[in-house]
Amino acid sequence: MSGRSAGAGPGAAVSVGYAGASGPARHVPGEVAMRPDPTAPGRPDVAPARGGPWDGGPSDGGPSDGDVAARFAAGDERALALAYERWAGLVHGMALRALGSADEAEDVTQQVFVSAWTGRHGYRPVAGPLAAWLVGIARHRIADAFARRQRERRLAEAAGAVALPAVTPDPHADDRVVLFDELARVGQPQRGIMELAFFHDLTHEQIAERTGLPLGTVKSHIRRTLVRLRARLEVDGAAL
Amino acid sequence: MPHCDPEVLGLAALGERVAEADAAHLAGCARCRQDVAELAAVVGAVRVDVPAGPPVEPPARVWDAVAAATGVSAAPRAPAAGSGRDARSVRDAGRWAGRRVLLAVAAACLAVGAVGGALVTRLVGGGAPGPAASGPVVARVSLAALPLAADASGAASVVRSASARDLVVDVSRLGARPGTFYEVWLIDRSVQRMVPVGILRGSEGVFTIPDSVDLGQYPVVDISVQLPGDPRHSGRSVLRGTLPA
Repeated sequence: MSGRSAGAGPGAAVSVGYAGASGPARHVPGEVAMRPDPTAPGRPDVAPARGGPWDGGPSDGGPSDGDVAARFAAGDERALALAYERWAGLVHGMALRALGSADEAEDVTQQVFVSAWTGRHGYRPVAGPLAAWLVGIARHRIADAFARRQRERRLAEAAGAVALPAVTPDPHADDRVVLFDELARVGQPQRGIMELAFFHDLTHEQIAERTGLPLGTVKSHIRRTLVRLRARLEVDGAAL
Repeated sequence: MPHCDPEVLGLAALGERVAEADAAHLAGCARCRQDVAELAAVVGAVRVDVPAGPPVEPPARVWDAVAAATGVSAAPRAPAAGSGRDARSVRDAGRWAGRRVLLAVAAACLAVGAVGGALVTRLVGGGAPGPAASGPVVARVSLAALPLAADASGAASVVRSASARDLVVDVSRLGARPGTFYEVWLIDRSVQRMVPVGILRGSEGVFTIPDSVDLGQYPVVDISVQLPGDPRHSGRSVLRGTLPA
């Protein structure tokens, strides 16, 4: 693998560290629903794309984000590499902050790009930026990771092991396990609709547009599935 | 008005905006509000809160795994060296040649002290330290402007003296903001932990870096706009850069 700007003078070496903090960052509309952490300095995740010698981002040429998205959707392998180049840092940063564990974050980052690629037929560039779609998948995988963590913890406890507290405790750990179990039993298209609503923060209109389902169908699937999840929570929820 | 359509309550629980008539009804109807609250609890337990923060490049093995799983042979260019170097990816540094070499030189120079420091200063093109600090510059970084201060620019240097390390910060076009002040921080890569190092007055400041602070652990130099009375980081950063290892 060659450096991003091989041949850059020594001056570039000073600032390469910065590239991790803002190089691939660009505005991600899909991320606006993330609740800001009051202790998180700045919002570099919504920083405009920046050029400059220490950036290594879009200023060094290459196709536009829109081109990458279109080629990605069309199955161009090079576009997967480009998408990774631009947004792996965004995804990995999210996973690392949410999970607080390098191993789990690496798994999530890997899963996000693998499932984005294998599920690329579900991505339509006209429906939104590729980065926003990746962020939605990342939020889904992070939630999965929390559920998996809790299931493993219970198994360990059941086996008599003393589980250490998680680095980033999940306040909803028990309910999450129950809800993910129930969600896995929900058939399609309901499950897909709920995933778009939960993790991609799409409105019911956007979901209807993306899935091609009638608005009324989307609304009633959302209501019924939420009620189903609530009922399951009442039976098996935090009382466990 | 009759009760809200149950489907509307479901959308409200997901955080969707509801029509004014529904909002007005909800304001006065405990039963509908209760329904929204119960469903919103479900939504809250499914969704995850991800704190905002900067990108962190994953180590190279993550791409290797993606490529293996997808069978894709194209490869991304290596992330800019230095990005996302957590404790583990430091061990991977050898996998990325090129500019990493310079960083290795810099690290080695740090170890041998002043002479090496001067060499690094030359190598990395560092400028003169601020007037109040003396000693070799052992690390230097440009501070990039964040959207809150798009026109601003700045640089930070770590200057080593006999007994301490100073962080020298100089900025330009960072206008005065009435009722606020600028504070300088050192932050870890995951943006979870931070150390306030001082208040920036004017365009230049020299701050002593506490001995207990490992710059490898807190490499991000950050300047924020703060309101008096709250010691926490405001979340409103204006300039930021990451010191090279």
